[in-house]
Amino acid sequence: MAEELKINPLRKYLREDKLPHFFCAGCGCGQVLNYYLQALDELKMDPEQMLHMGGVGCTARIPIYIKTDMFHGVHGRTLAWATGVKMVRPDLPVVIFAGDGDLSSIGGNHWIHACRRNLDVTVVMVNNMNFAMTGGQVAPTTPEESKTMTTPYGSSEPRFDVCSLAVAAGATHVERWTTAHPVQCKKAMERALQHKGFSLIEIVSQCPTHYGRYALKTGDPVKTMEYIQSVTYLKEQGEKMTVQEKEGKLALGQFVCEDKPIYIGSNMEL
Amino acid sequence: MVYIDKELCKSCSMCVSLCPKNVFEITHHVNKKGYNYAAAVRQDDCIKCKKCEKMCPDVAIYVE
Repeated sequence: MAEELKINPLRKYLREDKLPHFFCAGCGCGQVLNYYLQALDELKMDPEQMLHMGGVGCTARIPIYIKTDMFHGVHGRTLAWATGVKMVRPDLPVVIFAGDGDLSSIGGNHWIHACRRNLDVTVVMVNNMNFAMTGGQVAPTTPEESKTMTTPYGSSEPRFDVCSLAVAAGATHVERWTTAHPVQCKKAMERALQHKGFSLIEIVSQCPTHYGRYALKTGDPVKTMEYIQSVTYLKEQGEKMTVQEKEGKLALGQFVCEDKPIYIGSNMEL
Repeated sequence: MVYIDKELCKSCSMCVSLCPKNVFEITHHVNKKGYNYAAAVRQDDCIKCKKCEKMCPDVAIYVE
């Protein structure tokens, strides 16, 4: 006897004709989409009254599946568009989904200057530690000595700490979590959506298809997620850890949350 | 009661690994996209922690 199927109520925010989405099985981007919908639902925000943006990359395809007005186009230039939108419509909430390659590598300059100006946007950055859509090439966020498509003998470059750079550049709300922290991710996104000023939520995510297969020699999403948990630590725990223990690991938590005047063009006001 | 939209499932087996009560299993049935979808075979063991619903990458699971 076939029972009646009840679908997840969060699916009301999704474009049914686009489902199932294009993310690989077990991809962290799908989980980030799920956490973001939970945050929208908790805040009772209507995505149809918001603007979502995505550049190029796996993460940048997240807004395609949300029932919303969206921009999707040039690689790394989402913050440049967002600056223009915010000059014309300062009341419109703008949420940007960007991958690590999109934001920190190709759009790096736009990003640090948006941080410096304190543009009133929310940026959700999914850090899957490589350029996943183009085949798993090395990215600025790839951990040292990991093997990728373009570094078969191990990457010799040190990795980029995205949150530290955002704090140094003047962002007013910066948090980092992993996909293994569903409640923390959801709460962080809620805080970011309510924050007035530049919010960066970095979510360290698994990429079983590329980073998992090349660097970790496993295509299992759960094992990739366990690896991510093994290379991160909570900021509070970090106070008791030695420098050697912290080496090569990323801190998780809220790094900064403060109020500063936001950028509205020629005049500054809070 | 755990509901899974089998047409959205991509057989990533995240629910199978994460469930604390081992409710899910990957079946041998195939959906329209060619994946062996997951099913909640031990519904009575479910404690409704909703971990699967919160962490499913395909928003396919609903726990009532």
